[in-house]
Amino acid sequence: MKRSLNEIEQTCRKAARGSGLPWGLADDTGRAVRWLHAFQLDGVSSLAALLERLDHQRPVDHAPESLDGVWQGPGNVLSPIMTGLALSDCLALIPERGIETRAIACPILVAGYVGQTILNREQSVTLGWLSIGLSIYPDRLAITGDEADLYAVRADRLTCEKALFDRDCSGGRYPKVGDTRVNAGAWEKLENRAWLTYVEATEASRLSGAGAGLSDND
Amino acid sequence: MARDNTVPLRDPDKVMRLDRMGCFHQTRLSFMRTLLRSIGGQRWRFRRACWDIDNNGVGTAVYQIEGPDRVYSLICYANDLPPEKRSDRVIATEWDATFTLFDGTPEPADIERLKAAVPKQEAGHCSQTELVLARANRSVRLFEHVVDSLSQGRQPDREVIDKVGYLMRTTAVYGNGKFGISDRERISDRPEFSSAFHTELLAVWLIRGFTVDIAEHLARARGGGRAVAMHPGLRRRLGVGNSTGLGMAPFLVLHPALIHRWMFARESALARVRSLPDSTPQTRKEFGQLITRMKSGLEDWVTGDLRQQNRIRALGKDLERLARYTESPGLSMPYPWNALVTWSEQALSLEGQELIVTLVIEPHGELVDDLGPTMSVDEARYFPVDGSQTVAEAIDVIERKYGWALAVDYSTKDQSARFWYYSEEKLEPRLGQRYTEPGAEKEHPLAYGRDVRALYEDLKRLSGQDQGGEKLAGFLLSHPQHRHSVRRIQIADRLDYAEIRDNLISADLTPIDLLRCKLSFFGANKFDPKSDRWIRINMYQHAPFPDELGEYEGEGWIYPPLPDR
Repeated sequence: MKRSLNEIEQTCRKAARGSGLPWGLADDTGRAVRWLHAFQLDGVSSLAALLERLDHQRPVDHAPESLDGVWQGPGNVLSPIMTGLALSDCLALIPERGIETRAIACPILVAGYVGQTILNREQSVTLGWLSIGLSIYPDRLAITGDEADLYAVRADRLTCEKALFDRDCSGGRYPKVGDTRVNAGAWEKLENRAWLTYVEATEASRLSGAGAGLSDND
Repeated sequence: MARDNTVPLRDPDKVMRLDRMGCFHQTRLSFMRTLLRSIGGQRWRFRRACWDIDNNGVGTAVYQIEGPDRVYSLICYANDLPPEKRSDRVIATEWDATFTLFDGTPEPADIERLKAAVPKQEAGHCSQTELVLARANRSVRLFEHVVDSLSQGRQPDREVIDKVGYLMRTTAVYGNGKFGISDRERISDRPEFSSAFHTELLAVWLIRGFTVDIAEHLARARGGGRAVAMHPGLRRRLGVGNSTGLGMAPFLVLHPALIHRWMFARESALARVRSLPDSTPQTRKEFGQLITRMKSGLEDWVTGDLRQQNRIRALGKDLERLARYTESPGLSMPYPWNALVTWSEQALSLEGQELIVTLVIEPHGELVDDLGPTMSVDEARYFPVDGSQTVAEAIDVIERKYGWALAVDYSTKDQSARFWYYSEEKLEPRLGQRYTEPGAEKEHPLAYGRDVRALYEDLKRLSGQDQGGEKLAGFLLSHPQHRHSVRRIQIADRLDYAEIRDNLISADLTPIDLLRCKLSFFGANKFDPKSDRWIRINMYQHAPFPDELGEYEGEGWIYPPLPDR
């Protein structure tokens, strides 16, 4: 099925919030998945799977404990949400040797958080997991490796290194605005989670609603 | 033009207050004005490409408008709606007419495809060739009067027209990717849509033409050879109505960088005019005429709302004071516009002060019109959080920019009385009573004053523990609940007018102030509050119609014509 990028952003934002994430993280999550779909990468399916796994768990329990050394969390697996956000917040601070993490869930999502930040900077990075090298440039991205690893549900490590970018070089994948295909099953799961952000109507809320009790037949 | 900006922009602490923002009027930088200026100046061509509507008013019509590079088509689906089904509220499922603005020229297959989606509105699903999705209902009292009069060969009564001001009201106008229509960035590089909301307002302007055509069509169906068309002068007095509820309110809060651009452009225009060392005979004459035209506009500004009635009455007195001021001391002193604005701040009501902003900007198109295209923004540039900022630096930003928020005690019931949420029934923003209604745990992040204060308290605690040098990237790992507030303060630090400096959850909040501010930037008029959270407006009243673009007379259409014209 097809959805606009704005629908993808809004549904993912609400689904993240409906899964217990604070609003600020939900805002970034909507943008991150939108960014992935603009590059024809299926963020919707990965987010649906991840939210099922982390439903209503505290973000800090899956976040890097420190930004020094190899990043690892208190649990077994890092969340790509907290890791992706920490990476985008630190873009200006990436050391020469790069950043390395321990095991991480759905690493493709990390690219979404980092990507939507990179688009606004003269900076490029390469993310690596399993056989994948995903280089994000200010105007495009380039992917190497085995397609099957792109949507891995887990990778034992993820690396993030500064990349060199020549604006005049050819190749790579450019963003596209337009109808975007989403997986119908995953979309329904996200919509169900988004639904949890709505408040059920009561008699009192109906009475105090925006135009309640007023006739429109003027 | 070389500019001497002697007079600074007004202080955000003064401007970004809801009581003042709720008194804003349109200006020549409002989006309806900039849209018509742009397509009128470029002599866009208009034609009614299809009119396939039966004698009951059911069928399809297509209006096309062609600019230098592209064609846009408004596809209209007209309906014969029983009165009991006519509701302006977002819960309605049928309307008198539904519309889509199509990118290009639709094929018959497009019109058929969209016939299955557009009349269903939210329940249908459109595609990226559709730019806007909208619907409208008739004003029963005026529509019938106009059809009846025209069918009998008479012109409708001008007083009846002025009392309502429109034949149909739009009840929703959706853009930017809603329900599958085109994402804004697909078209945002087109010059005609460079400003915010130009796409939606182009659709509304074409809809206005349809509202008159359908009334004339039904008059002909009823009266046959006796029926007449509407007199062009009378027709101009018709705009398009609109009902707006809380659905629009969060927009100003959720788009801080964009709001800054709107406000900054308006305040820059004002500052440029105030910095003019003298006035010219031409601007003085035009200003005097504007006062007369505004007075006549006030007479047609009808509302049942007591608060607004009082404000309109006060505005009438303000206009008299203003007229006296222009005689003495007059506008021949040095820096006359600055003197006038300064005087108004002491002498006039808030409505009057903000109307002065509109009126002094109006005769100075050459000085300010270049600001129009600056009123949009690539919001993605402002979205990323700068994790390299330190705790101490963030504290400094909050103390400089959020004094108003730190001064509020959010633990009192009055200051935290409300919560913003989205209703399951309407999927629309609503305002609840925190202490008496369920659902506060699903609050949306519009209580940014309270949230920034909570962020401040946590930052201060860290700084008290000698961790003021810690980077926010680290802070946010352990305090993810503050992420939205960190983003806001970083935007507010860069953009002075990004933040409304009032508590949006206090007991004394008047939500329609948010609506009025936004609608004034659209170019709406005749604000008619129906409650503290619902407002009716008029759009494009007195504007040229699409078939009059060839004789487009340029500026000032939004003010009623001088009585002798």
